[in-house]
This record gives sequence, structure tokens and C-alpha cells, in this order.
Amino acid sequence: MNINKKNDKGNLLDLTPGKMVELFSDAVASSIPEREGAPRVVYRMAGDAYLLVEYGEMVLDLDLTFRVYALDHAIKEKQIEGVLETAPGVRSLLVNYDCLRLPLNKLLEELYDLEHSLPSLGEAEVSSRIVYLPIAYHDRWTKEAIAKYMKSVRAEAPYLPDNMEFVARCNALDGIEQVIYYHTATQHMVLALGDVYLGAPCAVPLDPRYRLVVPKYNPARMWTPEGAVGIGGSYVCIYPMESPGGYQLVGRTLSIWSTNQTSPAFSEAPWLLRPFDRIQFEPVSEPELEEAREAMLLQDYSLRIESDIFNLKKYNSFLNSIKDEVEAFKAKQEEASFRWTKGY
Amino acid sequence: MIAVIDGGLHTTVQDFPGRVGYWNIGIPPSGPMDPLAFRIANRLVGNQDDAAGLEITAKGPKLLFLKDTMIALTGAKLHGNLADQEVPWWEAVHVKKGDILSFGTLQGSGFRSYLSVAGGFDIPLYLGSKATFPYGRFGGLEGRPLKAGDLLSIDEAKKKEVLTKEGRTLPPENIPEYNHEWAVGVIPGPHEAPDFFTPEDVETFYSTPWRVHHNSNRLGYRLEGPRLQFARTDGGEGGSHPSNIHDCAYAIGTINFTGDMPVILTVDGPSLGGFVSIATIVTSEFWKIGQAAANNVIYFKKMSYKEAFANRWRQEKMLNSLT
Repeated sequence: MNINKKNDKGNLLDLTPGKMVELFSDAVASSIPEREGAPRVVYRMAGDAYLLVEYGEMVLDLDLTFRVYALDHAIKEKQIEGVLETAPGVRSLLVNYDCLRLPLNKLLEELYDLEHSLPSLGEAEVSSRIVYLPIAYHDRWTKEAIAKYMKSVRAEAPYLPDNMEFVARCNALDGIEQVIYYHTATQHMVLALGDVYLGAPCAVPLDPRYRLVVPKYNPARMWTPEGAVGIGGSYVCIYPMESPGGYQLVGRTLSIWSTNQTSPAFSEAPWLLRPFDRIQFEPVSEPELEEAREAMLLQDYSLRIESDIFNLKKYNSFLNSIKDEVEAFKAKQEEASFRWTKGY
Repeated sequence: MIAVIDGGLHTTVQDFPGRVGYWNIGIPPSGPMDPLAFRIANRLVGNQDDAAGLEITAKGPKLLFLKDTMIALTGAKLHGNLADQEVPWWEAVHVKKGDILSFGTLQGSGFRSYLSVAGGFDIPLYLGSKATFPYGRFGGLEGRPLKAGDLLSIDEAKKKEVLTKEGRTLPPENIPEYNHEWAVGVIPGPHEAPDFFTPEDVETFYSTPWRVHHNSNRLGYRLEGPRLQFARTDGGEGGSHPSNIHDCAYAIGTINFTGDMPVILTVDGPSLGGFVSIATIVTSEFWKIGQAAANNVIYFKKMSYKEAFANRWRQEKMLNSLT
């Protein structure tokens, strides 16, 4: 096996043209160890049409997400013949390729080249819009979803009858009002789209002092209203259509998907959100939300969106400055979570 | 033009490879669940792969042809009647104006059948494809399965371009074999690793006759079988179940553990999620899932990348021999 042995091109693998790649293991095609300014890379096999490029350790770290998007951008720029499409995750990029046009060893060669050309991301900046979304917390629509679940799937569970009370308990908070306070105290950054389907954001609270963590439903709901906002693990999602789902529901917001692009907010695409958008939730009443949702359909709702830049270095030094507070909050969370989800 | 007299159980317009290019947004490709039979059907009538045809599920539709045309039927064999004659499968068939095509029950195994028409269906593209995604209510005919009263237009311009010979048949040795038990080739990964699965889990995965759950569809195939142990007690930051990880994009055909139950993610499936996938079905074998019916048995057969590549190459060569 020639893995991690540099050849004269400076690549990490002997990639003689036409030669079939020797796999590192059955499931891992290759890997690159951690280097100065670059995380470990593991190239995981996902059949003969996909490769999953995974960065770093199993942790939520925006440095890794930035790296994912840097690679994604580099692949698109290079227009590699045989790469059909790519899909980013939190710390990985899925590459869909046609192995008849681009065999695995050639794909790996291209990816190695790109990996070594990516700049260190310590100084990275991305354009990042701030999207202000009105939200009705503890609303009748999500309560209806919970009631349906209790009637048809499971009548008793730690997260029933009130998902928000459960969120409060799991995070050592003092009831629903405090959940709302925490949820609006931080912006939520969109790390990927499609969680699940149609532009649904996989978003994470940027300020870890307000990062609510809660287990998902088990088993999942059969029905969730469109526009519902939920928390699962440490991620926040907005449901783009009526669908099954497993996140703990906290409220309802605007539509984030429009098939026929009927509103100005959707003039560019049927989906509203983009990676690195920062969502700022703003509490409104149920009638106010209904009005906003209707206005959006009638094309006379102006969604507040501000263009901005997000600087990774500044963010990391901010994280450093609040380290002690975060650790104290996490310890409280873990204790509460252990107590309320025992036997879950 | 074709008039739909009865839509059947679940008949949808699909094209191949479907709505590719939006996986990063969470829009699935859709397209045929059995791409092999679908592509053969198109090639028999002289179409390109991307010509839109019908996917028929278990109970067929009843169709009235308002113009002469050429069709081909492939996939699971239904009792089919064209102008009161038994209609052949895996063969280009001439249809006359006024003919009615109707279907009875399934003959033998297999679950999905395909109908191609010379020229393909003339339907607006949505995000580059005609494939129906009923769950998102777009693509195909108003984003839904066919129903009585629908009219399907045929692309007349394309129809003039295609050269169809009546009676063009698929050589019998190329007709795929359908069964109640399926050995499906997979490549291990992306998450078959000691971090997630124990060696016993891997052993169990490859030795179990997995039974197709009745609640399986174009989004995913649920499999009934033993519970795995998992190498961890929880999913760490990813969640409370040991199958949880930080969200990553899924491959179509990956075998994913959403909690305790394995699910094969198929063409209308979700793109992103926080669960581990033990193995992924190779491209040339994915069609078997499209033909697997509820209560069928699936065995997963480990395949190397080399074998997968060679099989894919042979399959494309066979398809190219049909044009």
C-alpha cells in the first residue's frame, strides 16, 4: 500500500494513470494527517459514485465547516470533468462523480492537489447575510403537531406534552420564557441546507452561552407544519414543507421555500437561505405571524436582510474570551440533560 | 397525446438521471427507482436516457392513445392488454390511434414497471428535470401521480427524430432477473469504522436476511432485522443515540441507521442528516431496490471498488449496444 507516501509530484499516493486505487481499508479510500493550518482529511467510500471528504475530529467547529466550503468552492472553480455535484455537511463534503469518466484514483489525485492548494483558514472571511425572521413561539400550529403525535404515535415521553418545557428542563432553564430568551439572544448560522429537504437550514447558535441542546423525538413525528422551528441536538431547523420530523418544536416562522417563487424574497431561487446566513429570530404574536405569512404570499412583505461579513478569526477570539462562561453553562446543561433524559 | 382513464396505484412521470445538481439544497434527484429498466425502455424506442417516461407501481394505469406511436414496457411484468391483445414486455410495440392499454396484476416478482414512448413526454422542466417529486409537489404532472382525466403530451419534434423499429427487442440474456430474494452489491462505508460499529455489527449486517418493511417507498426502504450493538453508547455532540453524528450529506443508495432501524435511502430521499451509514449500494445494482417489494428479502454482498467499476462498465456497454 502506498498511502501517505509522497511521490515526486508531492502527492500522498502513487497514482500511476490507469492504476486502480488501493484502498486504505474497505471503507476509507485514503487520508491525510493533520498538518500546520490544516485539519486531518479522511476520504470515506460511499459506493462507486460518491466520496465523502471528512475533516478533523468529531466536533462542531466552524473552522472545519469553513474548510468544507473552501474545498467545495475550489472544486467548482476547477470544473473537474466527471464531478457531477457536491453537497456540504457540517464537517464533510460529499462528492458525486461518474467513475467511468473520472475513476476514483483520478478523483483522489484532483482532491489532493486542491487540498494542498487551499489556504490556511485562520484569517478567512465570508459574506454572511443577517436574515431577520419573525417567530411565534409556543404557537398553536406546533402544539397541534404535538397533539397529533400524542394521539397517533406515543402518548407519553420525556418531551411530552410540551416540547419547550422539555427544552427548558434539559438545559437547566427556568421555563418557556427563558427558552425564548436564549433562542433570541444569539444569531443562528446556517452551516448547510437540506436538513431535511428543500433548502431547510442546518443552523447552529453562534454564541455557545445560549446554545440549547436537546435530544430528538423517538420515534419521529408523522406530521410537522410548514414553517415550524425545531431544535435537535444543538442544531436548529426550519421545516420547508409539511413533513415528518424529529426536532423538538419551539415555534413557527415564515415559509423558507417557494416552488413558484411568488414572493420577491424568492426572486433568485425557490429557497430563501444560503450557507453562512445568520438567522436572527424576532418574537411576534400568532396574528402578527399569520399576517406576515399572508403578506409574503401576496408579495408585499419585505423581509429584512442585511449584507455583512463574518470573520472567523474574530469569532474564534470571541469564543476564547467567553470560555469560562461556556464551560459553566455546558456543565449545568450536561447535568440537567443527564437527569431528564435518563432511560430515554 | 395520451388520455389517462385510470391513474393506477402510483404512476409518475420520471426522467433519468433526474433533478441532479441540487443535492446541496436538499432537492433529491427523483427519477426512476429502477434506472436499468427505465433506460432499457427508452433505448428500445430509440430515445435518449433523458426522455421522460412513466414509472408504474404494482397496479398499472389505463391509457387511451390519441395518436399512433411506439412504446416499450419493461421492469416488473404486469398482465397487460393493448387493444385486447396481450402486450409483450422488453420490446418496442406499435400503438394505433384509439388503442387502449390496460394492466392487470403482477406476474411473478418485481415491483415497478416502466413505459416509454417514442419522443418522450412533453412536460415543462422544473429545475432542469421532468421527474416527479410528489413529496415536494413539483416536477412531472403538477407534482403528483397520474389520475383519471390527465392528458400526457408526447414530444412530437423529438418523436420525428427518433428511429424506432417495431419489434426491437432486448436480447433475452440481458433481461434482468427478478426474485423474492435479492443479493445486492455494496461497498463498505462511509461510516463502517470501529468508531461506530463493532466487528459483530459488521458481521451481522452482511449475514442477515433483511426483510423489506411494508412502509417502504421512493424516499427510503426500511429493513427489518436484528438490532446492532454500536460501538458507542451515545452519539456525542451529534445526539443521544449511538447512530448520531454531526450532519453530513448522504449518498443515494446508502444504508443508513436512523436510530435502530436500517433504511436504504433512495431517489426521493433526504440529502442531509445526522446518522451513520454502514455501506452504500453500487450504481449497477441499485435497480434491485426499485424491484424489491414489501416482505422481500435483501442480502448485502460486499463488493470491491474494482468489481463495482467493472460491473458498471459492463452495464453501460450493454445499454449502449441497444442504440
